[in-house]
Amino acid sequence: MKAISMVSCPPATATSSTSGLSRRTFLKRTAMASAVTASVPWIHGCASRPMEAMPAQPDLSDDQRQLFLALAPVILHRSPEESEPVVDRMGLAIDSLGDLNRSQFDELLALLTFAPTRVAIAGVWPAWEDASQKDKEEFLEDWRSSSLGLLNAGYIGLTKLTAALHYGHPENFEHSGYPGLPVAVQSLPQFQESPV
Amino acid sequence: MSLQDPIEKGLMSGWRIDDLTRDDAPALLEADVVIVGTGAGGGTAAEILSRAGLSVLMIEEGGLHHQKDFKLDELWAFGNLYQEANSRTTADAAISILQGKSVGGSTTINWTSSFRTPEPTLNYWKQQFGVLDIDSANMAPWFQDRENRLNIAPWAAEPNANNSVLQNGGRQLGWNIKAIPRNVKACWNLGYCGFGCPTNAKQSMLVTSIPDAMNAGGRLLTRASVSQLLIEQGQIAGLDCVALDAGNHLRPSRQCRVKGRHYILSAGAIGSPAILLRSEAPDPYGLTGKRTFLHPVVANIAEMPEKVDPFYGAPQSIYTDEFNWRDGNEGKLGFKLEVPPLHPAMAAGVLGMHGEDLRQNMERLPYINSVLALMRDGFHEESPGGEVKLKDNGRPVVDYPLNDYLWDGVREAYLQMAECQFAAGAKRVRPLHLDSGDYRSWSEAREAIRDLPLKAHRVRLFSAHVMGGCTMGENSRTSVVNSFGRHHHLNNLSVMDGSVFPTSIGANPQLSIYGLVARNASRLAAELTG
Ligand SMILES: Cc1cc2nc3c(=O)[nH]c(=O)nc-3n(C[C@H](O)[C@H](O)[C@H](O)COP(=O)(O)OP(=O)(O)OC[C@H]3O[C@@H](n4cnc5c(N)ncnc54)[C@H](O)[C@@H]3O)c2cc1C
Ligand code: SF4
Repeated sequence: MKAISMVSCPPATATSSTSGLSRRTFLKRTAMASAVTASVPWIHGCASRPMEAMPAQPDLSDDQRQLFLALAPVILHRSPEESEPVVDRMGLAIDSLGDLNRSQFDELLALLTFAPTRVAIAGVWPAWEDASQKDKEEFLEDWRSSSLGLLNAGYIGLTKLTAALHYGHPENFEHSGYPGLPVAVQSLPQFQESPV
Repeated sequence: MSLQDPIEKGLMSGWRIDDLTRDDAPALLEADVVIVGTGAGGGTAAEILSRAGLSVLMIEEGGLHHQKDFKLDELWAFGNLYQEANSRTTADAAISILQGKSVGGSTTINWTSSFRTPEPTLNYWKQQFGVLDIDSANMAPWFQDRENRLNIAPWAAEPNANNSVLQNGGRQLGWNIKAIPRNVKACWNLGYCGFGCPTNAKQSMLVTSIPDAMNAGGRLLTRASVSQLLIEQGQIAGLDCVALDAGNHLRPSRQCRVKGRHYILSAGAIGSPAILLRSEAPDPYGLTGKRTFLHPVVANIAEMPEKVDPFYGAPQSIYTDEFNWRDGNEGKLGFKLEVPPLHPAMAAGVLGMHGEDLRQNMERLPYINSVLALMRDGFHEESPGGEVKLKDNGRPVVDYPLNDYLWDGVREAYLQMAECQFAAGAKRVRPLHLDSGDYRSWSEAREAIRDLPLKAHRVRLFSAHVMGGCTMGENSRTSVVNSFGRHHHLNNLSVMDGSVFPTSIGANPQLSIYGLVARNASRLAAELTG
């Protein structure tokens, strides 16, 4: 039945065997500095593995959490304490992107958290929790300014989600000078104790 | 009165609505007409066909969210009302795509700009694609009908400060500046149209045509993603849906089979071609999903001397077509200039910055204006559009190649927008481009923009208008459906949404969809009841 073919890739983070292929593919590609095409690993390039729909995975793995704990303060230019709530919300946010984008994101995170690929594509030698401010800044700037569209796209993916999760949260409205909801809406039924 | 929520009332009156993720959802449903998708096209078709006395079932992959849920929470809106939680992009991730995913489709989150299809566009369809009965005179009564139904009129109040930048700058430069017609009734001028209108002032499908259809006996199945049509001997014999839960996960254990006399695809210009492709619908010339248009958007931000509060007030109220047909229908790429609202999460996401740069720009948000250019794609041989393709997992993605024809338009748009923003008094202007800096004067901007490298991923590109992919026309070698939306090879199937357009519109598309679907659904109703 065709409906079964509408299910999606397994999470790349679940096992090392599923992401191994993409890592090799990726390394080969960077080694050849090949032109970036639509078949890149984390941008809509998930391989043909029709199987059950991706199970919900609302929590970051420990490695992923370390990655975001390291990067969020640099992306947001804020203290680790101010950045941590974003990391707490990140797992659920990635989980609800829908199977297609979630699998791309999972692939990207797998590459950034697996030591050999972290060194190869991010140029960051120490583990993320030990990386210096300079390592992290250079990583973001390299990906932003790279002539490889693939890396630019990875940069946008990481920074956009982090920044949106921070600035979109009411706790941080003052960081953008957004005064919040117009007062007038408080009279609307959805803001009353028992909606009419 | 505007505070009476028509959905709440309908639920109390016993509307027949099922949620496929729930235990009590039916496994089999039947209706005279089965409509897939509840956006601009699906909502309009449902209203007209149910008023004609036909039993109508609407199927929507998103949830039913309405006034009680619309609390102006941007991140909630992204997660619940936008496709892929607002992370959808083209295949190479070079263009971000904004599309709706809830009852009401993209009309639940759109910004209310309501333009009739421009005459040059209608003429082009008639001449190049042989579309029948499509000239302005034929279409005028249908646009009028929908303008009446959806209370469409030019915005009469003052534009907000964000839109005033385009108005003031454009007038300084001698451009023809106009007020945008909006589909609103007793609008509070709040600015949250993109989060689900909290007052029900926006006359989206959610509060107009869908309640009409339900009150006329229609039925709605939500959180049901149509996986494929069952095709038997040139006919659709049924279709299958799979539950899609609130967290965007498919639940293959919950499915529903649906049967009808006639089937209508209104799943939008990515969703409708995708269903045809998954169903392996007859397509002898390989046209399904081709000619997909995006009105690719580029934008500049400007810091103004006074606050513009780009998050408050009717989001779009001023436009100019100064550059849209300047070089004729088929010449250089034309563009329409408008203004987008900027709320914190959206702003933070589009800037393409990090670190100090991000923080400083975000701190200035109340002073930031943005102007955008909608590129009129599809009218030139070097603007063939993109293609909806299926990934191996059955999910659709748009492949949209970028070329010099587009880049020439992009550079021209950056320049015109910058000149306009400086003319309006901007202190600094910055194109949303990874290599752009802040420009302090028009002359500095002019020089720098001339040198900006234009290529995928350096230019920040967006689209909120997906069109095409099921081109209409009379010739089955060049079109997927006929002039009235009937599939050329499957006689009980129609397509009624933005995917039938042979090119982009050259204006925000919702009223083009409402008008054309009103015409085509009325014709179908007459055939089915005749
Ligand atoms: C943020 C934003 C602002 C906009 N502003 C404006 C504006 O100001 N003026 C204007 O004219 N236009 C605007 N638009 C665009 C306009 O809303 C759309 O062009 C229009 O709604 C498209 O209508 P449609 O019927 O083709 O598809 P949609 O309205 O997108 O509806 C398609 C529906 O089908 C559902 N669907 C998809 N696949 C399936 C499936 N397999 N099974 C079941 N259901 C499915 C989707 O969830 C969706 O609800 C805006 C769009 C966005 C996103
Ligand atoms: S401006 Fe506010 S009240 Fe008016 S339509 Fe938009 S969200 Fe609704």
